[in-house]
Formats: sequence, C-alpha cells, structure tokens
Amino acid sequence: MQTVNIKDIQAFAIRGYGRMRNARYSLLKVEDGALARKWLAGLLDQITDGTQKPENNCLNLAVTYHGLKALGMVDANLRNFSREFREGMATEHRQRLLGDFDTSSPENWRWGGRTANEEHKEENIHLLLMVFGKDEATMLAEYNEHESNLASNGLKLMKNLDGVLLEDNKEHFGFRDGISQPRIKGVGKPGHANNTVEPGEFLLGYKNEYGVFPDTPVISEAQGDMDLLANDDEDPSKKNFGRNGSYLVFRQMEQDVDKFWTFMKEKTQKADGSIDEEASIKMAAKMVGRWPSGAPLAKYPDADPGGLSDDDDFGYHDQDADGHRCPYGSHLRRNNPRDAFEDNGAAHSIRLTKKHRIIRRGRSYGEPIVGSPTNHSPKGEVGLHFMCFNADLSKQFEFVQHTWANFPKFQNLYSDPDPIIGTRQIPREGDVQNFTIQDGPVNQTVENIEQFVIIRGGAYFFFPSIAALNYLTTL
Amino acid sequence: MKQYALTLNAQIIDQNIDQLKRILKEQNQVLKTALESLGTIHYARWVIIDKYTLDGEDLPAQLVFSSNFDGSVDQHFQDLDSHLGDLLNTIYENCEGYTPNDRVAFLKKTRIKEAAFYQGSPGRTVGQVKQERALRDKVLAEINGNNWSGKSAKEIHRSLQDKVLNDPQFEWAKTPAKVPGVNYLGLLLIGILLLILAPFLILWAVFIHFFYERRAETMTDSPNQLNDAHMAKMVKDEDFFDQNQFSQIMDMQKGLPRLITVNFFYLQTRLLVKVLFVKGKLMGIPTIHFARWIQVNDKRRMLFFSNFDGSWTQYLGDFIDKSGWGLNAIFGNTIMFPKTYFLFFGGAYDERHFLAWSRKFQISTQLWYTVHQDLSQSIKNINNNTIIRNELSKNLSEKQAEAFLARI
Repeated sequence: MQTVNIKDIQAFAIRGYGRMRNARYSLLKVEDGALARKWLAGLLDQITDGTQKPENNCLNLAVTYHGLKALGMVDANLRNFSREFREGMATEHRQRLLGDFDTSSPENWRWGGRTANEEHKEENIHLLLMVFGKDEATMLAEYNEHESNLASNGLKLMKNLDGVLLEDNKEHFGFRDGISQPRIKGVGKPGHANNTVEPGEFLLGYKNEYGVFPDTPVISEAQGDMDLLANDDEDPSKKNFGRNGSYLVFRQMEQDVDKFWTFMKEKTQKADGSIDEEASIKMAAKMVGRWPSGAPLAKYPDADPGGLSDDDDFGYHDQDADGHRCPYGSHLRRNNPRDAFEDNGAAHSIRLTKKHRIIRRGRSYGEPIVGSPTNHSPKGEVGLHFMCFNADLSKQFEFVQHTWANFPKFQNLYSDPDPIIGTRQIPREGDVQNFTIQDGPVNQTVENIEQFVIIRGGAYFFFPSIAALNYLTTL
Repeated sequence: MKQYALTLNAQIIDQNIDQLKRILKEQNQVLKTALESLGTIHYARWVIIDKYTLDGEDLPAQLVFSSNFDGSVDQHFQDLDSHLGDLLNTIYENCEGYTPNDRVAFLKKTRIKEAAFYQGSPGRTVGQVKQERALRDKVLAEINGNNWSGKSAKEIHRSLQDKVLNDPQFEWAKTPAKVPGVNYLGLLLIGILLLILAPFLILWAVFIHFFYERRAETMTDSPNQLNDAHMAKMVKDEDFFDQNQFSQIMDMQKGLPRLITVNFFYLQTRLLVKVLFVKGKLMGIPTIHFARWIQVNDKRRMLFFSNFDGSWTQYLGDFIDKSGWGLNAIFGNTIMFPKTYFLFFGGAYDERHFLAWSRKFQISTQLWYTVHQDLSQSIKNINNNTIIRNELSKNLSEKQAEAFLARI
C-alpha cells in the first residue's frame, strides 16, 4: 500500500469539514505578484493540513492557471499542468463537453466566464481563499481579518461566494446530500473495498487505479527554492510540484427549487387535477436515486423510511439489475454506477467505476430552504457551490459530467440525460429529453424534463500541497 | 442487404493542397447534403493526409475518402457520381490523373482495400435503421398513451401487436429482420487453428519481444506534453452531438516480421468480425458503429478510421479497459506505441502514454458525414430497435413479453 503524506496535504482534499458549517470562498485577483507571495508566506502557518482537526476555523487556498502565472511561475513550468487546467472550464469545446448552454453558457457566467467583462472573466480569477468556521460568526470574524489584508498585499477581491452545510446536510431540493464519497486507500479508517480507491485517483504523486502515476506538473525550468519540492517518482531529475496536490473543480449551480417541485407535482397530479404529494416525492426520489432522508432507492424502493440515512452500503448488480428500484437514469446511479456499469459483471464494474470517481465538497448558498411539494418558494436565489477533487480532470470530472450525466445514451437509454444536472434549457433541434422509470410490466416515461440547475460560474483550480504553497512564495 | 466499406485514395496535386482544404471546408454542408441524398450512406469522410517524409522519401499528400454504405459497390460508385456530380469535379480536380469525363473510372482506379473492417449492426441498412427507429418510437408512444393497469405483459404485447402492426405504415415490421448470430462452428475452427498455431505463436511473440519490442522507440510523452495547436485542432470538431469520429495515421515499425505480425492479426480481425463480433460489440466495446484499418504507402503506414458513440475520452478509455490486448496486437506494430511485451501485454495498459499516443497520431477529418446527426441512434439503440421489431410480431410467453417490454 502506498503511504500518503497527510501532513503535506491541504486537509479539505481529504476531509469535508462537516463541523465547519459555514464557509466563505473568496475569488482573488493577484495584482502584484511580489506582494502576493509575501502575503502567502504569512498565511502558510494558518493553512489547515491533513493532520489538523481545528475546532473553530479552517483555511485552505487554491490557485488557477492565471493565478500561478500572476504569482510568477514561468511558462515552461506552467506548460506542465494538464491541458484541461491550462485551458480552463470556459472553452468552447469544454462547453460542449460539460453541456453549459443557453443561460448556463460561460458567456453568461458571473465569474470564470468566457467574456470580455472584467468582473466576470476567467482571466481575472487567480486565487480561491477558502475560510471555514464552525458557525457564521466565527467564519466571518476570521474572514474579516483576511479581508483587511488583501488590498495592501496586491490582491483584489473579485467575489465572495458563501457556502453552508444546511440542516441535516440537505440541499435545497430537499435531499440529504454528500453521503457517498470514495475512500482514499491509506487515508483514514479503511472503508468498504468496493469504495476504496488508489490515492493516485485524487492526489498527484501516487499511483492510480491503472497502476500508473497521473500526469503531474513538474518543474522543468529551475526557479524559486527547488529544495522545497520532492523529486518526481518517474523522472527523479525533476521536482514534482504536484505531489500531494489535487485538481479542484468549482461550479456555481443555481437550483430552481420552484420549477423542480412544480414539475414533479404537475407530472403526478391526479385525474381530477389535485396534487398527489406522495407521488410527486416518489418521482423526485426516482430522479435523484435517494429519498429526501438519504435512504437509497436500491434498498427502499417503495417509500422513504424516514429519519436520516447515510446508508452507502449497497449495489445494483444483485439487488436492482432491472432498475425497477433505482432507475438507470437517476442522478445517483449514473454518476456512480457502482457494481452495475453497463452489462459488466459486478467486480469488473467496480474496477471500471473506480477510474471515474470524484471527491465531492458541495455546499449550499442562499436563504436555506428544505424543498418539498409544499415548500418550494425560496427567498431569492439558492443553489449549490459544487466542488470536487480529482487527479485527472478529463478522466474524472469531465468524464462523469459528459459521459455519465449529459450523454442521453447512457446504459441502454435513448433520450435520457441526467434529470438533475444533465438537461439542457433548450433541447437540440429535433431532440427530446426524457426520464425513464424502469417498471413492470411497462416502463414509465417522464416526458420533456426541464432544466432545474443552471450554471452561474466556474473554474478549474489547482489545490497545492503545503510544500508547493511554500514553494510558490519563493518564486 | 449487406453493408460495405469503400476506401479511395488519390494523390493530391502538390500546389493544390491548400485549395482542396479550403474547398472541403467551404463546401462542407453542400457535400454532406449530397451524401445524405444517396440514402444509403451511414458514414463518410474525406481526410487529407499531409505530405510526409518516410525513410528519406518524400510522400505526396493524399486525399482519402471512406464510406459505409448499403448495397453493391458498383451501384455505390454510380450513386456517388450521380448525386455528387460536379462536386466530385470540384474536389478531384485537385488530384493527379483526374478524368472529369469519366468520374467513375477515376474513382474506381483510386480504390484501395481495407485490411480489416468492423460494423456494429451488420445487415442494417440506412432505411432499416430509420424504419426501426420509427417503429420503436411508435411502440413507445402506444405504451405511454394507454393505461395498462391490470394487464399482463403478454396481453400488453399482444395489444401492441394489434395497434402497431395493423397500421399500414408498419406493415413491413410483420416480417422479422435477419440478424447475424455468433457462428460457433467458425469460432471453433478459429480456436482449433489457434491451438495448433499456439507453439509457433509463443515462439513468435518471444522472437518479436527480443528482437523488436525491446529495441522499439516507444511513447514517453504524457498527455500534458502534446502540442497545444494540434490538440486545439482536434477538439474543435468534437462533441457537437452524441457521436464522434476518429482518424489516425501511423508509420509501421520496420521489418518484415512486424508486417507479418500485423497481417496475421488483421486476418484474425477479419475472421472474428464475421463469426464473433456481430452483435454490436468489438472486443467488448459497445459504442462503435463502423471502424476500419487500411494499409497505405506500400503498407508502410497504417490508417485507422472509426465512428463511435460518446466522447473521445470515453471511447479511448473503453479501448484500454476492455480490449487493451487486442489493440496491442495490431497497433503495437506501429512506431511510438507505448512499450509492449510479447505482443499482447503492456502497451495500451500504460494508460497515460497510450492516450498521448492516440492523440499524437490523430489527424483532422476534413469532412465527416453521419446519418446520425439527425437520426441520433447509438449502436446499442440500433441493435435494440431490431430486436424490438423482431419480437413484436412473435408470439411471446409472459416472461419473454416482460423482457420485450423492458427494452422499450
């Protein structure tokens, strides 16, 4: 087993900070590289590493391609990062891959977008300062201290995005979220073998599920204090900037709670036009793959057992091969098909799906609401600040978003995108967007599903190790 | 009716290369519409292979046309001539030896044979694919438009039969379509042949390993290191809808033993696509509609074309996960392939270098036509639609009827 150097990892990659209920994500622009490096040097001893479990506050920092450049990394070294990271989330090709069209188009994003607008454009997002607190007051007190240091250190605050873990960890549609996470082999308590993944799927500098090292940014042109970095395992003549780091995906997803529940109610209304509350919840649960409590449909196909569930001990291969419990097209099943990926055997499926896992770190924003058929009018905009960690943006995040979520031909389906995150606002000409509920004797087709989630901003970040952060201060 | 592959390879007049590229770009839509009008083409492409120096020899630029079509080759030549007409002149005037007065004769002269050819839904014509999609849509609409509560699967199936097959529009669906099955006898014979050859094959693999694989120059670049401009050119044409195409050209490794090896595995592929890979999966990969391998420049280079469902990452990932050994056997004989061991091992399983290799040797497809831009059927959909058609007209047991309904 590979030994993971927890002390060198920024803790957010390996822990979700469940006790830190509030977070503020500050998007910063580096206007003066030298000042910013000095600021970063002063920040280092506050960064939370993997061995620390603070009671009140956590602090982490991520950086974009443009941020590394602004901090002084030379082109030859920037060139060693993955193409996806260098190009960013907002390119025309990536827009097609990720399905960000119409209102969700990067041209309309509030940050990180493909636009000339100085406030909104990708090039002006450099750093992501992540301040966590056990409650709002603690978080804000900590944040305010940081904010007062920005301007004098050559940093411009572009935007603040707040993230909160809602009551019972439910997201705004009303479903308990963030239950299933892959375990990193060698980190923390051992988990179920089916869910324990080689560290190289999430952390650079370790072997992945293919048994090879993921692409990692090495320093090919000496600059800064090279002694701060470890040698690359594959090419010991080079320093590995990426070791113990990860790629961080950040997408701001607005959730249209009203549209979501109105749709469910309309599609399930009784013959006399009255609302069938129970049926509307069931349809929503079929789309999600879990009940509002978090209980998986694969285990509880008929009704929500109630209470709160973190049940992650289930598969589909033996329990639900025909999808009668949890539909093939449900958000849960297609974003992690577990032991029933296409028509592969259970063990083979697990081997395949382990190559496409992500560690999710979503937090909600906006006035909290626990959506339901009777409560779906939030005050103002609400949504999810979706984040995930992975070692290979192409093979993991982009693959999951494209091939498992957006691709309407997933499994044996015809016209079924992921009903939660894969539908388009305006379907392509001649296209339909359906959701199929496998059932006996006939399947049920929910026709013309709508877009309930709109992308409002996003960017790819690098989440450096502690050593790499330290190295950046020496550029 | 059978599907065939046509490959044409014409030499481009040196000073006309840029002009030809421009024409294929400007006339893209017009050409696609003309190809569509044949009504028999599943996929087609024009690919320009740029000028190239191989072993000190300057190779001229080549224009390769490929199509996957229904019916006879002769008819296909006639159809291309009559439906593309002057468009053919516009293109092939830029090629050496073009005879505008006898276009068909010229096209026939440029024809080259595929080394191997795979199809995901053998026997399905464009017309049939369209009909069977309409049939599936009709059955789905009937299912959704009726209340089936209290009915058994068998009753529902019978009722669908009445509703759909009595519609004159679907008269044709009363006759089941022929679909090839696995030819177990053929498979057995291939197996016996391989068993007999096994000792030689093992010796051969050892020989290749020590005298060729160990000395081969292999891919050491990772995907990060690929040329940015090249990658930008590749991805700008990708992921507009649910299918993509792939064109790739590689130099063969030097030496007769390499040529013998690749030809042996082409032969195996030709046999296996006839007897085993007839149900929509090529070595376990369930997303390929058509693929072909072509030997060009006196068998010194290999050309590979495929048409597939989903994204490039998905497709190449499937290749590694499901048939890495098969890839190694064929592509391992080309230069810069990630290091293989005893023909089947290593190679594609070195995920990072294999992906980088695939992209490095990918070339632009100047024009790509697919009937599925509008028809939008995955290879799984196409094969499922045929089964739906064939099961609809049958008398099914309750259990069979349940399985039938689960397909829709």
